[in-house]
Amino acid sequence: MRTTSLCVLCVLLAMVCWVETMTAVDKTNHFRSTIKQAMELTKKVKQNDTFLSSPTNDIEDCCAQSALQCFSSQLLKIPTTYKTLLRKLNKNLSKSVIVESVGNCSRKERAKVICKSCDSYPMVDNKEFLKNLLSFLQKAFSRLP
Amino acid sequence: MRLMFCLFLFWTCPGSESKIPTNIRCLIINLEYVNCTWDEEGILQENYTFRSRFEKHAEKECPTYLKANNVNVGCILPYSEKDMQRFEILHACVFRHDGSVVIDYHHKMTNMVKLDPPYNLTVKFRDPELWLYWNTSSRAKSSCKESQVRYRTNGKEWRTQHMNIERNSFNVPYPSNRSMYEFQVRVRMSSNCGQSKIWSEWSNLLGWSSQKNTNDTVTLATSMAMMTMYLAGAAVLLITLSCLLMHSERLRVILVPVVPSPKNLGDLIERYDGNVENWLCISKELQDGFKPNFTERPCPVREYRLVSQASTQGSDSVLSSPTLAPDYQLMHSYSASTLPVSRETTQAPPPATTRTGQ
Repeated sequence: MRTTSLCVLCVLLAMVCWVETMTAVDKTNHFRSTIKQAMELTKKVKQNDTFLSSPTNDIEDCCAQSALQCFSSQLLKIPTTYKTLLRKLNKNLSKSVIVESVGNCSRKERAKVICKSCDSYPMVDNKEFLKNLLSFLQKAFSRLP
Repeated sequence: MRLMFCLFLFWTCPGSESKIPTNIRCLIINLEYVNCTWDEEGILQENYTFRSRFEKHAEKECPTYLKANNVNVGCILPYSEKDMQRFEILHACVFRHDGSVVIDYHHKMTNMVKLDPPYNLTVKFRDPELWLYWNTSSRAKSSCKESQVRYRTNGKEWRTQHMNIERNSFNVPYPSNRSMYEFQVRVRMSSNCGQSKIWSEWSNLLGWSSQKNTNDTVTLATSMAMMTMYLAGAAVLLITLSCLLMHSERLRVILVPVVPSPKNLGDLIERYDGNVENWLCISKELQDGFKPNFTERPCPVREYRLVSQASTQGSDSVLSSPTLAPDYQLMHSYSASTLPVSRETTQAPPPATTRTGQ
């Protein structure tokens, strides 16, 4: 009976370790593919007169997820022929893997901070917007362990 | 006129006027510190001051100046990768002694990272591929770095290969056995973490040539050495045998027998009375040496013949018993020796006796 319990515990532990490892690998891979999509879009999209609210580098502490939401909400407004790529990127930005990775504060800390609304960020053209988004994602990826 | 001429000289002579810096160049070195310089145009003669700040920090004067000819030409600034300062804009100014701004600089530093070159290059041959491995500075994590390898064979033109991110290895499939390979590697920040415009310096050169070439050379040298040894041994053996032949008559006679000339065969027969040994001019000692100097005692061997029971009547011997084999009668008795038999051995053998069981 004792041996059986020990075996079951070992199996459960192994499963948990495997899931954690796979999650970490998936997180990294997912981030990479999102960055790759943002880079591709930055290269392909032509500069035009469309202006969008874009968080810049001076994002307050614990407001990274709010900034990400702002990026995500503005992204689909970009006029481009690469709609499929645009939609894929937008979908990835809303996934929990990305949302949890960009933030470096706990829920309690985030609740205490008042972040800027999306409209209050400076307006930039579509090219500048995508560069800011790319920089934002690269910074978040660099922070990953 | 003279004044115009002097002004003209003053304007054209390059060394007479103090150079004014027009550009500041800043690089983040290996994510450890920032190196800013403003002496690209040439030698400066005036001392300048430098003040800078990253976006979220206060402006400060340069903590460590770089000097040339006792004049400030650059500045070393502290850097924090933990605060991700390279994603911020660096604001910097160069001032004259009177406080006036000479140059100002506002630049995002994401693409301005120069990493240290890779080190510890090693090569391993795993048939049929040649593998190159290297280490990079641990300041930046591996997923943030991308490498570039260049190699050449036999000193020809370099071939460049761009490696994927995180890979610290490169392979050459089916390397030539007769070529000398040279490798160099450099690294920069990858696009995942803000691609750098500047590569690191090339690593130290690593050379490799086929192991088989080296082994062939060694084998050839070994073969030559063995060949030389064999020849020397053979020469020594030949000399030794020659000496032995000269000094040992017995050996000479055996190895190099004297063959008489058949020209005067008739005369030879008459002279030596058909004695061949005399023809060969073998010394008497040697002749005696071939003669045996021992005697062998002959061993008598007897032959028996089967005889029927009817011829042995009245005998109390066991042999008359119907269960026993028939009697044997001596047929012959002769010596097994081929040597001349002495008188002792030629005597008649004793009669055959049989043991009777009682």
